[in-house]
Amino acid sequence: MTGAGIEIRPGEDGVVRVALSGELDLAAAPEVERKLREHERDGAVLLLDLRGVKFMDSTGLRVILSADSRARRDDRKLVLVRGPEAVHRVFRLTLLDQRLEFVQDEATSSERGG
Amino acid sequence: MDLPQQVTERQRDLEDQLRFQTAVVAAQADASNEGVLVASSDGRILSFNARFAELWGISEATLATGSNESAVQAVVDKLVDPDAFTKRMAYLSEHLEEKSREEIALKDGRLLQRVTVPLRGEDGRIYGRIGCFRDITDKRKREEGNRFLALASKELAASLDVERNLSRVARLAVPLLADWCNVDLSEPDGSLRQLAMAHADLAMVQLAHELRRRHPPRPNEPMGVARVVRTGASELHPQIPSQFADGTSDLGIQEIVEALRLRSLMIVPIAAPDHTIGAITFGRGESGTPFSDQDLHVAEEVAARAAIAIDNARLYRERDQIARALQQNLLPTTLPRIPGIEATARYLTAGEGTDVGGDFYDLFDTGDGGWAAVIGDVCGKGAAAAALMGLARHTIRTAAIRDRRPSEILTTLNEAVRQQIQDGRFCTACYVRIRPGDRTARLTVCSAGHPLPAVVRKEGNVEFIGKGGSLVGVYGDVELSDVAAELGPGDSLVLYTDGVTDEQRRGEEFGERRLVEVLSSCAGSSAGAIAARLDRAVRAFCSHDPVDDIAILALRVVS
Repeated sequence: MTGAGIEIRPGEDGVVRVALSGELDLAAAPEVERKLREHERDGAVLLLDLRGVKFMDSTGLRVILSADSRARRDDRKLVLVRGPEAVHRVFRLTLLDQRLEFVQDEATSSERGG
Repeated sequence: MDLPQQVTERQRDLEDQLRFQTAVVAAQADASNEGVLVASSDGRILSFNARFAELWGISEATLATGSNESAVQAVVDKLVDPDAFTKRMAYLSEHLEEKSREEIALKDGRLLQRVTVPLRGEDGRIYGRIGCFRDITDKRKREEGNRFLALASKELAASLDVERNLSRVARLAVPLLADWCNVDLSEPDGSLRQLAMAHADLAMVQLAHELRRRHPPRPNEPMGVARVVRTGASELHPQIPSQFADGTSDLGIQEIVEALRLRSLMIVPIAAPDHTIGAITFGRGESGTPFSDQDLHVAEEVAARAAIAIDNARLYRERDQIARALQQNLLPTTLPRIPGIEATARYLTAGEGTDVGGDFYDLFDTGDGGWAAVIGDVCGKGAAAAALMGLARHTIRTAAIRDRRPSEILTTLNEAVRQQIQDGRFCTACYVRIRPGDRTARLTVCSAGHPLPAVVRKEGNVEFIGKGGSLVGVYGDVELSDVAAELGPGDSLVLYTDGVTDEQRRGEEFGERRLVEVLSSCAGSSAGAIAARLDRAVRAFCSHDPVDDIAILALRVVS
């Protein structure tokens, strides 16, 4: 298991950009969750980039869902940059691709966030 | 006052002063805990203090002769390594200007520290050398004791394998604390089981093992391991007591003492809060000093830490057993017999035994001529995950009595999870309603965020049936669909969890493509063979123990 990488760039445009990479699983989830909670309030939009994620299990999904519910509660927005097919399949299977806001890449998201 | 008288008085004053100063220096030297020896450059003893004579066990008369050589001779006999000492002395006599500091080991087990400096006059001339000797045996023993404690604690915490840990501790004890170390644990029937033994000489270990086997401790012995375990009180024997020698107590120990030429023993209890678990015996031979209170303190400390480690391992084992019992309660112990349909389940948990929760499956009679095949995956592991697993299984069974449509049953489950699970935990579930016919079966499939089940046709085609649906326990309004399908004679239905498809090998996952390949090759096989082959294929693919739980539920219409 290689674990997950997490890179955080708080933007001045009100968008907190978080790029995840590697395996978002039971081992990595607590750390990712902690980092998200720490930084997500720095902007009105949390942009979670899943393009670098190779694998995601249900605990990874839970981290994203709880970030989404916190965002809704606090009147912020969670936007996801669509990950590779293996990762996106999970969202499709659970119909979350319709519940959560997905964008293809970061450029489109900056427009939304900005 | 005439001149000569003045001179005489002045001389008397000076002499008084000199005598006084000499007395002060001598008193200082005598009061010191360090042995002091002053020798001239040509090897004569200029002065020494009582402590020096005492440290080395040389009579003050010998030293008073002033011959450094005779002093050196008296010293050399007492050394562990006399050659090194003589060489060092020769070197220092040729390098008068050098300072020195070294440790000298004595045959009696003591360790002396010697510091010497050149004796330099105000004119810069070197008159000789002054040496200070300090007994650092206790200090060194304290350091070694602490080192042993630190290393032993590390070993004890290294794993939950108590036997391995205690063997390591025994091996650490030799030679840091003792020449021989033995660990016994008491068995439920009151007998003692020898767990670990260490001695520098392997042949001695074998011999001691043999002696110990021949004469195990007897419960009522007045002294020795059995008594320590019985009373929980340590025994410290700086000298081996006669009770051992005359065989009235612990004959095994007595014979070991003789065979290993032990001179000193200590036995400390490994004590849990409510009872003594066992005992550790330490023996020291002729080379070392007899065990002291300080050694006993170290030994007791190690035994106390061993007790904690053993108790932790026991608690963990109990928790593990509880977890397994709980897990089993969450899964059907046997699958019901469905007329005309074979069914097999395979379940493999990943990780440690206490990581309960994860995948679940069920197969039950809905009481209306129909059957329910269920599979699901609970987010995470641990007690909270297990609770959700139990809730899911029982809610589904209850809801299936009232409702027929799989989507309604899973909607009920969604409401129950949202009401009762507060920590954001969710699960996936797939419910298949089965109505067996004449060598056929009608299926209604609903998936709540769960990988779609596969139908394996008799001819080898593989189809995934059902539609994606909402996760269970996340949103109040779920989107779930019921999809109908039919199994013909010899067709199979395979439900599985994402542990099957997600299992990885070097970043590449097993995936749906391999799943289809394996299932296709199983066409016509029995349900048991299909489940077994899929399980084997996944394990062969990842070539390590699965990272995630794997559950497979296979059903086949008998042809």
